[in-house]
Order: sequence, then C-alpha cells, then structure tokens
Amino acid sequence: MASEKLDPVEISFEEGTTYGGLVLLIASFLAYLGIILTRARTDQVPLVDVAWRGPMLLVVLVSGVLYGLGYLVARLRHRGPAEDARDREITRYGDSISGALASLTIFVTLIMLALEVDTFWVVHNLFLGSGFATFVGTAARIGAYHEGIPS
Amino acid sequence: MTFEEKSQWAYGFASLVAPAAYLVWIAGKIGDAAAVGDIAYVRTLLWAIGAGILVNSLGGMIIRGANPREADVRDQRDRDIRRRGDAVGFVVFSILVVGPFVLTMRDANTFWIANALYVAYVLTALITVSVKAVLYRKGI
Repeated sequence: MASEKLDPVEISFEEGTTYGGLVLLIASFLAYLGIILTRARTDQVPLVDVAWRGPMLLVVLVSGVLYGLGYLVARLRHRGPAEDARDREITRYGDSISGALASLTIFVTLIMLALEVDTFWVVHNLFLGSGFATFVGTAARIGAYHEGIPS
Repeated sequence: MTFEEKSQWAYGFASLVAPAAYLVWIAGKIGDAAAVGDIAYVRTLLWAIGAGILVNSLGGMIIRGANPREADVRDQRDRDIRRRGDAVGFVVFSILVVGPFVLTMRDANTFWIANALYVAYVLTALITVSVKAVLYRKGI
C-alpha cells in the first residue's frame, strides 16, 4: 500500500547498512566468479582444477573488512541511536530466514562429504550456500523495511 | 504448552539422542583405530542423521495425534520465539562453520571435515532449541 511506504529520505541507520551489505555481497560474489572463470579460461584448465583457495580467502577477508570499515564509518557519522525495536525485529526476521537456509546448506554439505564428492564442489557448496543464505536473509530484511514483516 | 513448543522439544530430543549415540560410537572407533582415515564412519554418520530426522518426525506425529485439534496451530508468540531462536542459531552457525571451512581449505582429512560439520550442525540445533525453550519459559 502506497500510504504505508516510508519516505525514502528517512531510512534508518540499520536499513542503510542493510543496503550496503547487500551491494557488497553481490559485488564480492561477482568478483569471485570473475576471478575463477578468468583463471579457468586463461589457464585452459577445467573449473575444478582452478586455484580457487587464494581468491576465496581474499574475497571473504576483503568483503569482511570492507563491511566492518563501512559500518564503522557510517556509525561514526550517524547521530543518535543506531537501531530501534523495529530494526531489531527486522534483523531477527532476516537472520531466522538465513538460519534455515544455512542449516540446509550444512545438511547438503554433510551428504556431499559422506559421498566423497570432490573438495572443490564441497567447499563451493558451503561457500555459495552460506552466501546465498545471507543474501536471501538480507533481501527479506529490505522487503520487511518496505512492506512490514509478514506474519 | 503450544503445539510449536512441543514440536521444539521433540526436535531437541532428536538432536540430542541420535548425535549422542553417534558420539559414543565414534569415540570408541577413534580410540581403536591407528589412523582416523581408516575409520568407516560414513554409513554410521548418515544413519545418525537419518535417525535424528526419524525421531523428530515420530515426535511430530505423536504430538499431532495426541491433540489433533491443536496440530499446526501457531500464534504470534510462537512465531516471535521461532524467529528469535532461529536468528540466534544463524549467528552460532556462522561462527561454528569457520572450523570446517578452514579444515577444508587446508585439505584436511575428510573424516575431520565431515565430523566438524556434523558437530556444528548439532550444536546449532541444540542451542537454537535451548534458546526457544528459555523464551517459552521466561517470556520474550
């Protein structure tokens, strides 16, 4: 309903960092994908033989540090309390969705390990599954800021 | 107790019994085996996972059968508690998954990776259920 929509100028601090996190998450996923695909093509090797360990660690660390720094700067520039009861409720709502997807990821990974699937796929299932869980949870939070938490 | 609270107790029970049995079994094997790589744990681990699911569904069936009118009825409080518990679970999982992730990165023995992951899975379930049980008792 249009009347319930928030004035876009007055987004809360937490909503702003949620947007930032989502952009960062997508950017780091694309960066990782780009590095791996480029390596596979230029080195003329199949995808599973690409040296993925370095890029994966790099992407995890860089995006973690960037998010931390961005959050810190935004927090220092922001006046007043960072979150209210509504922010906390929306964060919990998003995290509960991420949690459900994350446990599904663990479950799939366990079965892959039990079936002795190649390490490349096991790690990528874990990596992409966790990323996907965070992505869906963050998207749900943004949806909840606009439309409210579905009951 | 609401339907949801009973279901959580069933889930907690399942998350405790099957992993405990597996833990006893694997502890004996680790003690006996010369190298962990030799332990044939896969079949038992899959059985433990399956048994957990089975016990949980049996619990659900008993709860539904005992009071069919109350089955699958959830109110706002149930939903709030579920969300809070699951949110805590996600944070716990995010921390615990670093262990298996690092092990896999370092190409550790699959035995350790799989079991570290199983431990993370079980601990997340137990902590989530405990948080929900406390919230049901003490209120939000």
